[in-house]
Amino acid sequence: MSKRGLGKLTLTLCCALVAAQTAGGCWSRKELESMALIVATGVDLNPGGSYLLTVQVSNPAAVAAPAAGGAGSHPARPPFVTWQAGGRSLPDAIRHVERLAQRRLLWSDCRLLLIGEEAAGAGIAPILDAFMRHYQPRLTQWVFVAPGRAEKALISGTSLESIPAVAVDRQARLSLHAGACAIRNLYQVGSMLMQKSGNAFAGVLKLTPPPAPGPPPPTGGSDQATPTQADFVLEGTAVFREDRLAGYLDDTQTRGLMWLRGEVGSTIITIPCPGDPARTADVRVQRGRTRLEIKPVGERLLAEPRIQLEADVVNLACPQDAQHVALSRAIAAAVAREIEREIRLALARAHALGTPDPFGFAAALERSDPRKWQQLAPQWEQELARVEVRPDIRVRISRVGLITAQPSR
Amino acid sequence: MGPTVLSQPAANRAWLDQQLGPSPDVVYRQLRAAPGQPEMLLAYLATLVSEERVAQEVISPLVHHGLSPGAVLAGRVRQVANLPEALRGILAGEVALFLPGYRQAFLFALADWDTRAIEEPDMEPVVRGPREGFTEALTTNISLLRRKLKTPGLRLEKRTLGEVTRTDVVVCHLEGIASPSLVEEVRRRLDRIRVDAILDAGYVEELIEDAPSSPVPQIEHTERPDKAAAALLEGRVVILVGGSPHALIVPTVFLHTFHSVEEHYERALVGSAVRLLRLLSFTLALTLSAAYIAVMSYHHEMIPFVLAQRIAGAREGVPFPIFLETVLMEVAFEALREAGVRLPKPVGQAVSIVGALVLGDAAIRSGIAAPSTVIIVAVAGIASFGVPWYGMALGVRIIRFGLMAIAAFLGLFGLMLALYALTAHLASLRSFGTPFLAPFAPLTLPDLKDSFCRAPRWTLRSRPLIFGATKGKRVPLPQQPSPPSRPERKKRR
Repeated sequence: MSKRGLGKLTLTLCCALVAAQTAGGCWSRKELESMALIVATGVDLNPGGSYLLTVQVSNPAAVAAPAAGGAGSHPARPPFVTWQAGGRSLPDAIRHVERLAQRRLLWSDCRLLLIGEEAAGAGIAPILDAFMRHYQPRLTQWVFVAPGRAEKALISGTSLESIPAVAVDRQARLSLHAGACAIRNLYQVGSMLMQKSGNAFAGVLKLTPPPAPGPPPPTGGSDQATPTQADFVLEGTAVFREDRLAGYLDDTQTRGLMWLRGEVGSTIITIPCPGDPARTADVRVQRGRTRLEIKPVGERLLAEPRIQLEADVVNLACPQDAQHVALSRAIAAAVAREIEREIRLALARAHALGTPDPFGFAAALERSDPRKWQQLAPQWEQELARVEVRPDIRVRISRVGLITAQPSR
Repeated sequence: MGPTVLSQPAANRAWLDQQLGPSPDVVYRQLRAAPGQPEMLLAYLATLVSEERVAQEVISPLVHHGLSPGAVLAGRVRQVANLPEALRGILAGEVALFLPGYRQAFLFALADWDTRAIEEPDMEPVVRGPREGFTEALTTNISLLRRKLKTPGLRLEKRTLGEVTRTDVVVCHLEGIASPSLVEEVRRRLDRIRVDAILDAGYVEELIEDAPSSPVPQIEHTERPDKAAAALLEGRVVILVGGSPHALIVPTVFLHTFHSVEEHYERALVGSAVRLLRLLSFTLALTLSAAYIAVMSYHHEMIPFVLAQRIAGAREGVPFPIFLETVLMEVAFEALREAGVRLPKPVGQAVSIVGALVLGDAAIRSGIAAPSTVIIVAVAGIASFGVPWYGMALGVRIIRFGLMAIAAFLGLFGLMLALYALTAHLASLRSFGTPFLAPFAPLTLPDLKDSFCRAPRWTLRSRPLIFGATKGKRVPLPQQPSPPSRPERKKRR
């Protein structure tokens, strides 16, 4: 390249560089502090049939480390704020929230989608659709159904974490395999809805009343609620018929559901002592594995969930010596009986709700015998009513928790 | 060619006098062995020669044993027939002797001038390893090399470059190890040089480099004789320049960015770990600020929530956009660094402390800069000191600003584009015939033993292939140390 050409090229490059710096703002360049970080979303149904969208937004200024020497410059700002807006559809409601928010909304950090009971009863498909189509919210955010209004849960604070959604997220991760709540994320609920068979379900987030007697939590509706002390508990399962909420399973039934789906990893089972029903023993499940098999036997379908467990004894009030082999066997048998009882409870409740298959029988049949499934699909609901469930539960007590005899009473 | 030496010393003196002018250190000494005998002439520069030795080794024998060049005791003597050559010798510190009746001048090497002592190089200190460093005196440097490599294969070729400075430049290579074509190429490039002055090795480097306009240097320099010796043993060529304590080493590849001599003196595991650390430093120094700008202005979803919250909270009320803020901090850092280098040592330290601590703290307190930006700039700055090749570290700093600009413009996409272009540029470079990204591109498997890891000594059996060194084992036999096996021990008993 000639000297002159090189000079021209350098000049052009310099100009382009300067122009580029100012051009970045023309498209998606935004400063982080000009964004509103949404951490939780709540969807409720208004009386008129329109949606009420509640977003919980973290307030970074309250959480950030106080600037050196500037302590007290932000006196007690709330760690989060909530904005609410209604709309005929969810995108419409989002548009209205955007009008309300002083900053650009960022949905990427949203970790909780809370659906109010009424909205869930009216159908969750349009709600999930809106959040799955939007490019920012992640498919890994948790979906919970709130008995009552979702907004109520979003405007109350929790005791340990400054932002409730962070607390819910942490709690959900911790109790993923505990079996007390059917914890599901957006992707899982969405794909369950898309399946032709089976019933979708999601976890339930209940508010517990504040521990100390004080003013009751506000019933929402305000733009900026003051955080109050209220706690939540993740417990139970919301089961859907198609995309409408049909009812709830309580925590025992939920564990029955989770046994069948093979999603219990670590939980504690309390059983009566063999030979002395007044006393109890507890085992902690260390590992669980379930293989759900369903096959036609004559006219009916036979479901055989094979459940294998490994458990440790963590409490034993029984009179015998825990290291005794016979007692171990008796405990294992009692645990198996308890699990079977929970499974039966879950099955009965699911049938009572008219949502017979959150368990995945249909999917299991389709896997093992696609032709049979094609044949049965049209009258699947009737077929399900006749499915016989015969669990095969094998429990192995691997540790008794003691290396010598237990302390004498 | 110039006038030839005349048989009359006085006539030669007239010519020299005319050339040198009236300088106080020019000495013309006219001597006679005995009264009535013809005069001879000694000409030298008093500031460059040892006058004591001139008196003892030249004047005294000439006066006592007659005016014959054979009488002189000085060790090195050469004869020249033309006057300009004699003049150059005088200017280089030789003593010229003009005898009546001889049409030649005799030049005795009696140069002696003050030089700096051999010290540990400030630029390349080591914890473990030799502490000598090259000095400005070429003879000292050659002697340091000779002491390391006691082989007849160490070949030194001297040439004088610079029409005015007449700087000696010595090309060193190991005969039988360095590729002859490489040595020839070095000779060819040095012989091309036509300048008036060579004041430092940097002049030579700039005039023989493959791609002088690249931000990345392709010639390494060192102050360490052990490093130069190691380079010679790898089949590379070392160029010593008079008046410069820096020896140039060619060819040099990108991998040398991460190499220092110490890995070879420390245990192999430590050496490998240190090199990986340097790779990390290099990457951070190059991309950290740019990635920070890109993520903060375009890719907010990539920041973990808790971090995003902290950063957003700390940046609340910062008046500048993130790009401007980062560039300002980077410029301030570079200015501080430059000030620290140029200022006298005691003052420099004070400036660094004031700049780093007081300014940084004040900037954060007043809310002009966010703490996260200060952290990023500081980490990138510290990381750039983790690159042992100083020239490369300077190049990295320049490239960093370009990357920051494109990251502010196109985000991570732009950063990736720029890194891609940078890699392509590096791949297109060559240093004296060796591809700059060798031994990775082109892949030279045996050389990977001494790349980002440093394999144990006994496995480094062959010389690096990428420099075209002639074959020959560095470690001829399997020599992994091991305790004697059991049967052997019994036998010994």
